[in-house]
Amino acid sequence: MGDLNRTNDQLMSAIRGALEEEKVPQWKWKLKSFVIASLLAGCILTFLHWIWPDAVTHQILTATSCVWLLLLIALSLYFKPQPRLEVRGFWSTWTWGRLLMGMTLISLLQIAVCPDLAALSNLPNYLSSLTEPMTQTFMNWGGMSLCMFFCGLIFSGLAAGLVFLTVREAIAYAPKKYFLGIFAVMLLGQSPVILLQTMDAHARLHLPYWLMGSLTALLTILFLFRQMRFEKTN
Amino acid sequence: MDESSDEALMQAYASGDARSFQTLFTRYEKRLRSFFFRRLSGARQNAVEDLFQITWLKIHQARKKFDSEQRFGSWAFTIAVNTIRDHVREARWKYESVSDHLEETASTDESSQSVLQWVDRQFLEEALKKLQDGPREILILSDIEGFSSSEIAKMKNKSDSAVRQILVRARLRLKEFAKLNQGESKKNHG
Repeated sequence: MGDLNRTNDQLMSAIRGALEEEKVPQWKWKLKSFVIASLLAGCILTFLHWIWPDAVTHQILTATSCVWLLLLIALSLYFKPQPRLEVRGFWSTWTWGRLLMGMTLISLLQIAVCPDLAALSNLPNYLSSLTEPMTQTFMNWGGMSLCMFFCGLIFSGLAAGLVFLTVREAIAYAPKKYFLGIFAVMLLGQSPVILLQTMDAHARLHLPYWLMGSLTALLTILFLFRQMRFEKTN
Repeated sequence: MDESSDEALMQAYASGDARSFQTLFTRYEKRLRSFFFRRLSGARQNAVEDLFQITWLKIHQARKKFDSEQRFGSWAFTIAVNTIRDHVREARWKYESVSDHLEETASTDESSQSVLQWVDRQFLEEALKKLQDGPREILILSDIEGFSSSEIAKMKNKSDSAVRQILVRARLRLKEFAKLNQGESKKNHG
């Protein structure tokens, strides 16, 4: 009985909260999203410029603009008035917002850890030691194409796994119709990386391999998490 | 205690009135929970709670689309039925496709009456578990929740005649269970 009362209290509180949030004028929470997205994008631009002071400026600006746009969308979905309650199997706009935000930030991590992926100039020595052994191994196996495939597989797989762990409650027995949307959001989150690759003629040639690796990873993770169905929770 | 109709409360809730929402919630909380519990027989309480919460969140999301011409109860239970359909894989059951050649049952027959009129409530809870998902859901909506066959037809996206046929068969099944149960009781008590 205590559990039922707690559920009722949580639900009523969440819905009452949503009704209160709706009383705030729309422009206020949109402004909040804009300000936070801009501040974050500013920090990211500073960070990227610090890592690659010699990088071509328009590449950094393009990546940051893309990230800013994605963060703006994600934060708008997050701050939109709605019940703030995590329920297994329920996808609200703030769940989509969190998913997109997570994927965008992990894209940034991909660019920071492996600039070859985005055809940016070499990392400073203290950071390149992280990726050099792995890059060399893949290059020895099958050249640039295989390297890009494994890059997509590893980074997108890690990203997908991490994000799904964050929204696993919503994934549990979620309707199948949401999986295409989840997949689209994950690809959208990867768009800064894809954009940077398309901007470089050499990287563009190997983009299909990176996409194949990413798709393989995303579909594998999606398939694994689809198994967390209603029957499994019984 | 607010004596306003469900539809009036829903209109107020759609406009942002939290107290109207609270009154509606209090009125329908037990009914919806019981519906999920009976419908998902064998499910853990967690699953029932999840679907209960999802239904209310969906009601909240769709509140501005509520048409005051329709009954709130019917609308809310449609959302509940759709929530179950979306989230639970239903077993295939024989009553899904109803043949046009089925014989009409006489209206004075027990199978046209609500099961609550001729079956013990405690036995009903046990017997419902023995029915397949589809007929169980329709029987609960009709005989326990009190919805008409046309309302249920709308919820389930079926024809009125199909729903009535399913109801007839479900009640006949319960009648068989009741007879078996009676026979077993007589045996046990010597």
